Amino acid sequence: MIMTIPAKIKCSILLVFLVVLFSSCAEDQALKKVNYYLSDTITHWLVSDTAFMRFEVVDNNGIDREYFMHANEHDNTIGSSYFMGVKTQVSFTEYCYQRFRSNYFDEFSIYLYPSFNDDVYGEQIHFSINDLSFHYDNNLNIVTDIYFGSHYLNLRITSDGVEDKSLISSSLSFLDSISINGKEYSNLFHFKLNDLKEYWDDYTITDIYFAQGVGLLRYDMYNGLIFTRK
Amino acid sequence: MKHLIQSFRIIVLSALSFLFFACPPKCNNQLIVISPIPDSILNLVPYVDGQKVCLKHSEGTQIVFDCSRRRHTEFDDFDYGCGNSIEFEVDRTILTPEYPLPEISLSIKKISEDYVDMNLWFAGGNFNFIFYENKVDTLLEYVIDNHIYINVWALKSDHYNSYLNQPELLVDSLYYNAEYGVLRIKMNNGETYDYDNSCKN
Repeated sequence: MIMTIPAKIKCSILLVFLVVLFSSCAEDQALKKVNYYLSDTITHWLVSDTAFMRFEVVDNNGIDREYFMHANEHDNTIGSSYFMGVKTQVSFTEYCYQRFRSNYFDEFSIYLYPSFNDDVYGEQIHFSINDLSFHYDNNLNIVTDIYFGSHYLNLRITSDGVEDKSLISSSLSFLDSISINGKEYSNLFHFKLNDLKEYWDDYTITDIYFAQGVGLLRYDMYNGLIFTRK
Repeated sequence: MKHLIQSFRIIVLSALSFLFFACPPKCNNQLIVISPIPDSILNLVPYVDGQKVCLKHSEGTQIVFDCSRRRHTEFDDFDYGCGNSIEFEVDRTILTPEYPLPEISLSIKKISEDYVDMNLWFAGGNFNFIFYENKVDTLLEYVIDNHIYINVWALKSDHYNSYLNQPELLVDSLYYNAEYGVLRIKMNNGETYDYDNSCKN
């Protein structure tokens, strides 16, 4: 069969389309691959030494509890974009996750995410303790999300920046050092909850102190109970 | 054509016989109702719904627990719908602390006519009191803060944690009697939670 030139062009286009379609079926195959990595700056917040993976905490009534590491993950999440059934982009987003649990079933975790969306969002620290969670953006230097039980506050962030910073008044500040139970700890953050006060109860955690490489140092409850690392 | 009809008949017959044999046999369900938990066992748990119960930590803090006690019926279906099932009574007491600690859960289940299971759970520590033929084992005398308690059970914990990583700080033992309930919960680091009779109800 003799093909005309237009027919040949159409066949070639169809062939290319089919090749792209089949090659984009594999999970990590696409027209474009993007990797999002965590920087060393942010990964310093992880508990790095096995010596810190189990620790005791005492409250101001002298009651002990023990925290131990329950999960320690370092992996990539895979995301895909499609156009007319063709996978155009696959992204590999590095993340780190650590979770600790106490013998009395308290739980806290730290989740680290890299920056993405052309740096609209900076590297993220997602921290959670019992029924309180917050997200901190290391580029914008603000707390962007608060979750407390079934209640939440989220800042709206666009390429022009944060729409209304006054929506969240909780803060995260960085401290050079702190002394707890006779021990010195350096390079830590102090989170202060100032939002959703109408939903607080006696056991609401209002302050969190967390050190790079070491982990949770102290947390305070609304009723005055203070839990400190031994 | 004849051959076709014959083949069709064979196929239909095979399908029908498969259908016939694929139907399960009729189930012979029987519900066995276990008699209620006797008072002699129920009276081993002295807690009353709505009561306040106090335990004092070894460092001095009094912890108040709010008591909830309910009785209900449960079913156990051993053969997933095709066999005997049993209906039995459960008496459950939950002591909820007014402190960031887990609850104490006490349950009594009579799952057969000659066996009653009483179980106390706190912070991963699990204590089983087993009574055969509704009888209670011989008990001992125990002293806490110069107060002598009689007819005391002393039990070691079976650690029940559903996750692989275990804490090293664990519930070690329980001292309990029918008159006051929990007398002492002892942790393996020496901390104790002791019965405190100064609770205001």
